[in-house]
Amino acid sequence: MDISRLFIRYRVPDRFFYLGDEFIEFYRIQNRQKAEKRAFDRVSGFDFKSDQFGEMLSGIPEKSEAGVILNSSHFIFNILEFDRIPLREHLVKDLVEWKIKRVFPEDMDQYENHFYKLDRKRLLSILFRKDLKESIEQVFVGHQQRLTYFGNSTVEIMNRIFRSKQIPDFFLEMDGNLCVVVFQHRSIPFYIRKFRIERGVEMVDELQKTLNFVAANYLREPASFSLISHDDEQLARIGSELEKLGLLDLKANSSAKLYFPI
Amino acid sequence: MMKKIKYNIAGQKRVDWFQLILFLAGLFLVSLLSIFLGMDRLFDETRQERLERQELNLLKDKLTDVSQMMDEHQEKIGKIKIKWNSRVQLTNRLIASKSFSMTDIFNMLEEQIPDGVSLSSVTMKNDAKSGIQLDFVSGSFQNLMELYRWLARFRLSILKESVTPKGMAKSTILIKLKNEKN
Repeated sequence: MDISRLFIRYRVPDRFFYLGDEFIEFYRIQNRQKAEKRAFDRVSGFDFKSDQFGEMLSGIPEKSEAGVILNSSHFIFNILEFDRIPLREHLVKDLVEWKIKRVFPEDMDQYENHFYKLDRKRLLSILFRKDLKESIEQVFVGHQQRLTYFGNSTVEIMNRIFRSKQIPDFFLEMDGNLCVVVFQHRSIPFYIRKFRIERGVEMVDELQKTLNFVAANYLREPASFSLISHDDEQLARIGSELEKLGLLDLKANSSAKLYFPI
Repeated sequence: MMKKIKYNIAGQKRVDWFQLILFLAGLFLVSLLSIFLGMDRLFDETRQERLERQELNLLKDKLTDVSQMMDEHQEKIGKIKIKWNSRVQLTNRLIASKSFSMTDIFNMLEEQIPDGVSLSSVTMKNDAKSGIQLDFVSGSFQNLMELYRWLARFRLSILKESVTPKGMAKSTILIKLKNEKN
């Protein structure tokens, strides 16, 4: 285990970009308060070379630090289960790679693999394309910005929601037609599903299938949920649909912007 | 509760020096405190050792006293032993010089003296060689003769013999007994 992890903490920048599918949001924190918020609709967070994105970065003073939070569209999550997780990190890494290679058809070398111990038997592996990361970093370098935080919205939401007092059995994160649903038991995530809503398919129907899958494979009947979306109309509609299924809506504070690590 | 997942894959992460320095300062303080406590404990042990040494010295002194007392007692015992040895030697000498048992002789005489004969006096020395002088009085001379016959085995010597006008026979004899130990 890298001992430096135990005591080295990294600074969280005071400027953050959320890069969504059709939405970019900029936050600036001053004295632990949200000092500035700008939203850019109809801009893909992954269209880095667009003028609007460049314009956003130009608004930030040079040589300042910034962070980006990406939605989960380019992330691959795997919850891996083992009989026993070794203590030595290199052994865990080998084990994780071996297990992922069995289910993941692509070249693992093209991905950054980070894994986190959830409990004694389970690990969460997060894969992200190296070239995409480099592209995003290059954009910031081009604008004389230092990118010191590169995170994922689902992970940040998990950190907030599954560590709160009232924990829902699952949460649904929505960004455009991208949905990420994360189920937990005793605050430890056990199933993550990422899907896109095709035209003509109701999100609730898709979610119902997921609930059935969880009930059949994990023998759990979720009873409560939280929804996270930028779209208030979508929040209200999906919330009421799920309540009709008998699920309790533990409303997440949407204004808290749970995908930011601050 | 779920452990926070610190997912940050940025290549230019910036170490929070303030937190790190704070942490190291805390670590330094804790180390300092540990050293201080350790030293204190070490001194405590030295103090303890000193106390133990003092106690040990006291015990040593006590042991020396006890040894001296033992020597004195041994000396006394030696003296008593010498005194008792001389007494035992004397006793042994006395036992060695004792030639016969007077009680046995009286028992024997009581059993063997014929009826009508009585022993009027016994004169003896605590020496087998000297013999025993016995004075008898008898109603008849015949009884006296019977006594002579029985005492003949003890090298009997008749020293004096007389008959009173009333016919009472008196006799003074000397007998020598064998040494009991032989």
